[in-house]
Amino acid sequence: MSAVSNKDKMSLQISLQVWVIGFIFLFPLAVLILYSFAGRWAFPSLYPDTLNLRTLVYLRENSAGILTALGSSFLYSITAVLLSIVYSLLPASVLTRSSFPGQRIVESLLLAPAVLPVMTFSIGIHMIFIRLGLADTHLGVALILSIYSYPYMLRALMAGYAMINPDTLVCARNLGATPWQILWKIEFPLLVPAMVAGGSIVFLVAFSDYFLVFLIGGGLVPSYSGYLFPFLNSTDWSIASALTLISLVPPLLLFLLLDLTLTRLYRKWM
Amino acid sequence: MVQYLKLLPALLPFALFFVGGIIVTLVQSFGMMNPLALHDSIWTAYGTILTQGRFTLSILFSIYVALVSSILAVISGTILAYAIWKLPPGMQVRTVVYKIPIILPHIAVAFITMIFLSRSGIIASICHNLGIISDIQEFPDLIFSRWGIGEIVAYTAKETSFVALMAMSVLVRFDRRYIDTARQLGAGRMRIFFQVVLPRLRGILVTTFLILFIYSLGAFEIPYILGTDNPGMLSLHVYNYYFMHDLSDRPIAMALLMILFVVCLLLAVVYFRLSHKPRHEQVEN
Repeated sequence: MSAVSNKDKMSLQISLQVWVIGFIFLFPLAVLILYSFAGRWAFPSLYPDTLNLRTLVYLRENSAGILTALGSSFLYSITAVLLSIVYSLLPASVLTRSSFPGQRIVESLLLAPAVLPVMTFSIGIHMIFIRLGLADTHLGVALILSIYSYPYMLRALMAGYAMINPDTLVCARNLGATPWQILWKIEFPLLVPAMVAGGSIVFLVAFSDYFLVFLIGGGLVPSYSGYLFPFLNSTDWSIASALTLISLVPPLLLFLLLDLTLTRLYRKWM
Repeated sequence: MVQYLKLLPALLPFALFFVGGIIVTLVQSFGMMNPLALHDSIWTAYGTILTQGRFTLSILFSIYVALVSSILAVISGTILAYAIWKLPPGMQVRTVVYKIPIILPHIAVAFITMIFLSRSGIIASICHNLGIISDIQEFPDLIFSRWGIGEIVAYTAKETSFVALMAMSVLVRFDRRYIDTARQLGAGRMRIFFQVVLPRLRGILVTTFLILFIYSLGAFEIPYILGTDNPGMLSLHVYNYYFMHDLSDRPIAMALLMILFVVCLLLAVVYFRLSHKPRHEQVEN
């Protein structure tokens, strides 16, 4: 009898714990949803005094601008991910597989841009970009975001290379595969999970950044964070709340899409 | 030799832009490449910073905000990860919402903090309804206080989930039987946490703390929304001197950046030394 009630107590405690964690992280989002539909919500009311659909009307009327900003942010973030793969694919294999004098220093140096404050090097890069004609361009924004975030890809790919069994490569070489074939036909498919993991972080960092896009884009490259920012500093918390919620949509959609296509892909390969 | 050539795809952008960007900052902090900065010495901007009290105050304030928020995030993130890890595996999936702050941009977290902490915000309203305060003026001005409460809360809120994610990456490899054994030997809950679990997490928590500390020390977005100029975090002063003042003041912005860079570089060296260590320990084991 006492064992049963003990078990009940345990499962009650567990579900309580899940509820508390859920509440802590979902409550702020619930407040944002409530604010999105609030007309007047003045201190000290615990819920909006009036409700209306003004925010939805705003979103519909400005959908072109919002979609342009979202599309632009999505584009330069994906470009930053691709650039980070280009930077990291070969160096990650060298850093994982061979050892040479000064290797640890090279590795630390190459990982450093993600650890040091962006401001310290980005303002200098801005001046270099002005000379090169890269300031105020999409490519310039994607470049600076990739410089700051490629270490996440490098680290993920290093972990990915470490998981590949060296015998596989020896086998391929014995069967006459060229280094290029080994990279494309064997290593690349095996590295896809690592690329997705690293790419997710690079994408998130790029998509949510405000300062670098503002600095290098100079207001000429549309971005969602740039669109959102003035509302956050305004007194119109309704539209700011709705736009904040929308900023969650592209990353979540991307992760969902990746999850679905990857599981399908792997089922096919298996 | 081919080995070294294979490093080039990363070394080239690193040298060209990252190192190049810092060199441009350094050169400009000396008053060079600037037609309006007529200094008698290359150290003029640094002298101005070190002799004016408000810059010293701003450096100390930045360290204070970064330190307090990173410590709080490490504590709450560890507790969160441990609470999730102790749940049965089937239940852990339901706590996935803890990752939401990782997806939210910093500016969004700053905004949510404002909704909650401002004098007409959610917490003030709840306090009023509970009878803790009877008037809006009685609620402390947390956002624009001199103590950086808004910045600290926003950083902690944003970074707690990141710490939890990092701690989880170690906990998933941790054998639960250690805990069962400790319990059979008569260890209490507190003792199990502090003497069995925490030592395993120490490595990842120290390196995560360093990453968060360096980030908060130099980041711009959260102070820009939630901070005040007095004393103000370092990044706000850099922004003001770079964008708001004229060209003759630019060396000051650059010298502030160089001071920030050197401090963070020293911390990054500690970080890389610590993060390299575990691999060797694993080999020995």
